[in-house]
Amino acid sequence: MLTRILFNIALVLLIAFAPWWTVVLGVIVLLAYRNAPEVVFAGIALDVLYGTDLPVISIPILFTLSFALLGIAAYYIKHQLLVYDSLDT
Amino acid sequence: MKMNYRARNKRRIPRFAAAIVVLVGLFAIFQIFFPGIIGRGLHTLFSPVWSGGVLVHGLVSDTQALIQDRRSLADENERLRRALAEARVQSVAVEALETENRELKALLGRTTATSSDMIAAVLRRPPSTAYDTLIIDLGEADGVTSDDYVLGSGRVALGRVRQAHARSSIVEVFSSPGVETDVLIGPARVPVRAVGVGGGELRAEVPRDASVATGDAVVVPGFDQRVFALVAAIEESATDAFTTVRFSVPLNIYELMWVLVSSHADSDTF
Repeated sequence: MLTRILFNIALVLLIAFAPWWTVVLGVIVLLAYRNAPEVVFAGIALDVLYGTDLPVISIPILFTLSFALLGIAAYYIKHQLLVYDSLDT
Repeated sequence: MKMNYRARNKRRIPRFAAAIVVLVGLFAIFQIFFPGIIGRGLHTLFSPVWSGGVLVHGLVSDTQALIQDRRSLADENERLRRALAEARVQSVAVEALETENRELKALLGRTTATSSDMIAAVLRRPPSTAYDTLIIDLGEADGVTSDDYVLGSGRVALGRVRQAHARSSIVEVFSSPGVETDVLIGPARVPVRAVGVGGGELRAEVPRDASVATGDAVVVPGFDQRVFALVAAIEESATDAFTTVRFSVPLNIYELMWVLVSSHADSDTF
């Protein structure tokens, strides 16, 4: 739980001060270890803090959608595929 | 030996996926029906943090310059290079203004528009901002409104304010991907529509016989024509009726520290 809180604080700092792609990397790392719906908030923050209207959709929602899809994809991949390390070689 | 197995998943819509869909849906609804509310709140929250970051960054840079001689020399070198680049831009701007002045002398009864520019600190810039936008420290409380023009050093036209919050604003740079701007190229003032491709670069299609050369100034049409970009490259093919011209913004948008916000009231004369 503490790790998750610390990771989320780090994500907020990345959103505030670091290049956008570091946030994407942070979200991927977080999703690799946990099912974290809060990644959507990271996307919302990137969109509303830095975003302008998109040519197709009139609201900045690029990162929100991307992180939501990443989250769902990570969930399904992790739940469909279980990796076992067997002792007998 | 590693073996992969497919796990059974009995639940049709997992809670995790449902939570994500609900969150995205709520965000979209909020953005459509109450546009700007979330942005306003987050900008109010983050503005002091960014200002503090800029202050700390400045202090650290100053301390480093004092301690490290070689570093300070390198910094001075960098400053001088920037000054040279700005001087180059200014000379192009002066050239454009001289041409404009000659044209205006032919007209009677026209007066120069008064300027009400405000200087703003750049709090965030690319690559931190994903959409090729700038965050500046002036907002509605300082008189900034949407569609105000933003100028760089040498009064280079950089972009427009897209969203003005209470104490900060989002500026869309003209070179943002997909942003279209009507401009005039070269001494012949060929009118074209420039399209941003990101990273301070733009491109436009001009008729093959138009006299455009590398280094020509690209200006924004209007009474007070501002330098917009410089022609960086011309790509032509023998079979094409049009030539692709690539421009680059004469300022490094990744290193912008200060900009000028030109009041919306003057935008007609921009």
